Amino acid sequence: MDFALNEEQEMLRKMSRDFLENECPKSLVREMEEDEKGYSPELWKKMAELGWMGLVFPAEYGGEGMNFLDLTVLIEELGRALVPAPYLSTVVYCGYAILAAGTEEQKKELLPKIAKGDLILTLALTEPSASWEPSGVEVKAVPEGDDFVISGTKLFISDAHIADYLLCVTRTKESKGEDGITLFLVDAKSPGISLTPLKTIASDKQFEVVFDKVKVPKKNMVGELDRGWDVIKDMLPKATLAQCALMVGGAQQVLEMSVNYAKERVQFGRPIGSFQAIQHKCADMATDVDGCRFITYQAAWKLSEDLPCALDVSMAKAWVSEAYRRTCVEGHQIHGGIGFIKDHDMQLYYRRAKASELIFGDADYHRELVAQQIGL
Amino acid sequence: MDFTFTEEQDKFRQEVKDFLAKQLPADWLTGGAPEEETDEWWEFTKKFLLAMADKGWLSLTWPKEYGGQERPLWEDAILGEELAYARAPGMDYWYRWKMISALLLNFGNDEQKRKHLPGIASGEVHWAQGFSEPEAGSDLGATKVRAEDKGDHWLVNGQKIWTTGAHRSNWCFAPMMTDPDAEKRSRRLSMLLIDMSTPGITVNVMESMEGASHVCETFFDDVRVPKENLVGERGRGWLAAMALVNIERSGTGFASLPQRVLEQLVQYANETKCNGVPLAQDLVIRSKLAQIAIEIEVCRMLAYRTAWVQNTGQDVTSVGAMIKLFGSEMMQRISNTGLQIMGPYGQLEPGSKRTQIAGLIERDYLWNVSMTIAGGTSEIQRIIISTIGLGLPRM
Repeated sequence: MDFALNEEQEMLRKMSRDFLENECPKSLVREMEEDEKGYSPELWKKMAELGWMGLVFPAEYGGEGMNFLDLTVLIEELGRALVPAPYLSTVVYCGYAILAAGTEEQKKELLPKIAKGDLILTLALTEPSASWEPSGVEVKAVPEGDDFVISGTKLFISDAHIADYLLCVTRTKESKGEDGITLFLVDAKSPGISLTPLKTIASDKQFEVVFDKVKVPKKNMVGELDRGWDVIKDMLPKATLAQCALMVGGAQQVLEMSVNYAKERVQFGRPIGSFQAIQHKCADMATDVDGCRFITYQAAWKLSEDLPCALDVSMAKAWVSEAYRRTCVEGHQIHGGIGFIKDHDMQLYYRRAKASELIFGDADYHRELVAQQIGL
Repeated sequence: MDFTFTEEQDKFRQEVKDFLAKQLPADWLTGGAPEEETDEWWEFTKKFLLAMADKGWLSLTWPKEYGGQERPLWEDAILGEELAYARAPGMDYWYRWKMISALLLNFGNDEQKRKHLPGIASGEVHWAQGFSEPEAGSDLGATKVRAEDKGDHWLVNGQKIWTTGAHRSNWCFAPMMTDPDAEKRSRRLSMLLIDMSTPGITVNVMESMEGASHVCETFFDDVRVPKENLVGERGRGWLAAMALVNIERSGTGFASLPQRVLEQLVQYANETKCNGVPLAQDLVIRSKLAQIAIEIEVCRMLAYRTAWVQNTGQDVTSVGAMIKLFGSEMMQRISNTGLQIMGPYGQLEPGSKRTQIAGLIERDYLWNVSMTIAGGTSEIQRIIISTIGLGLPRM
């Protein structure tokens, strides 16, 4: 048992925290909420120069060769700073899928570009049914000569407006199950794709993406025909844990903000942090934050070590989703009126906490997955 | 990071499991255990503790020069985990064992170590803890049982309460007021070792609501305690007491006993039908049991983290308070949920006709009320976390 990060991870944490404190101030986060693109290409480029985009890719594809636990450390810092960037979409959801299932040609072509920050990708998985299960995949891809033709609607697709490619999860065979699902990298500029922006609680950029007879060459298939869910199944735990890591970083920051505020804010002639009502809230927040951290890192460590981790991932997402929300609620209560004013940072975390809770399955969804794995 | 145990640690865990399988009857958890704190229970418990001593597990982490095994602290954490999982008898005696041995090893002089450690290691001498008083509960610094310096002895007068197990104990360790005029309140107390057979000591047993009779109050009436029974520096008893409560709070059993309860509830839900359908197919029950499993995992992480902090020699005050707070409150939630899942069967006591899971969870539900109080209330733990852990200003 060892709860400490190693030296390299500590360096990564410190470096990324320092970098983001300078390069990603909350003014940028606010600006990007209103911005049409929703991210800063300049910051994106700098992140790439630090090696973050290729952090987990092997050196032969222009990467740093680090593992998922290392990535978790970085993502925690992204969550702490609320970095507005298509990082998870590009690196975690799509980068890992290509690394795991792409042909050598695809890997050589795409991964170095991702690592350099020259390519933005996003995953087009969910549909109006809002399901994370294979049965939710109904968008069809029909073979036609050297192409497949994709038709249907994808929903809640992050960063689709800035993506160069959409990793589209399609149904290639009549089925409700895992069999008959195929992934395609679709050029985002292909004729027949139309985007409609959604307005979201976290002011992030999500879209309805309609595919109207969109042609994609067969060679853009990622993984095997009809076996695409294998790729998603391999990627989903990483995506889910990446969300947990974002939440851990956010929760840590909310705790620190609230404790600092409780030390400074004076009422009745003394800091409110000297009142037990506030102390007890802070203690509960600290307990929640530590619980979130270790249950997330344990799952991330197992994933890194190639150990079975499905149960750990679901436990982490179920717990962290609710504990982060609780932490934000307490944080708001400690901050009083000022916390819900747009100029204050507290509300930035509160809104994103809900978004992270709802993506890749909320606590109820993952509790059912846990139930299935504890013998019920 | 590494979230596994070493091969050697796994081997030790197996050894503990084998030991427990041998020492405890096969029906230990299904009605084979004697009712707690009966004479039959105490005889069994004493035998069990002697067997633990035979293994060297009552002196597991002590230095070799005091007859210890000098094993790493992690093994102690594993031992605690397995004992709680098995609902081994005498767990609270075992916790006091840990406290008294830590007191002697850290604060005792050579003579005190030589005199007391062998009896502790052999499992023959039982110790009670005399911290609380009727007017000094959470506010331990308000201790007023007086130990007057009479030159060649201390003269002790007053009342301690929650001296659990005092009626079975040979000795007691207790902070007492030796220096009432010291300016700092924390410098007024000193830690004394008291032979329970000394004239003037009366122990009164109080029955708690689940029926166990081991909670005691202890009265001292002109009790003469030899001068050499002062442990550590005079006036530093509060400091020693604080170091000991950290040990009391930092147990790994908080996650493992509930793990056993969860396993029993899962089995119950699978085997029990309501309206012809197994409870395990009820979505609400599935969700509740899954939530228990998740909380136990979080608890295990907080417990292992505390053990890790202990192992690395860092201060355990705040993280120990955190596992105690989370673990005790979780145990209450779990026994509550357990009884709800069992429906009307949940109310049946051990020994009743038609009782389920041997009435263990009903017993837990009553006993767990004390979990958020004994060893420091949840409110005190929250204050420790926020002031010592987070640096918030004191009241």
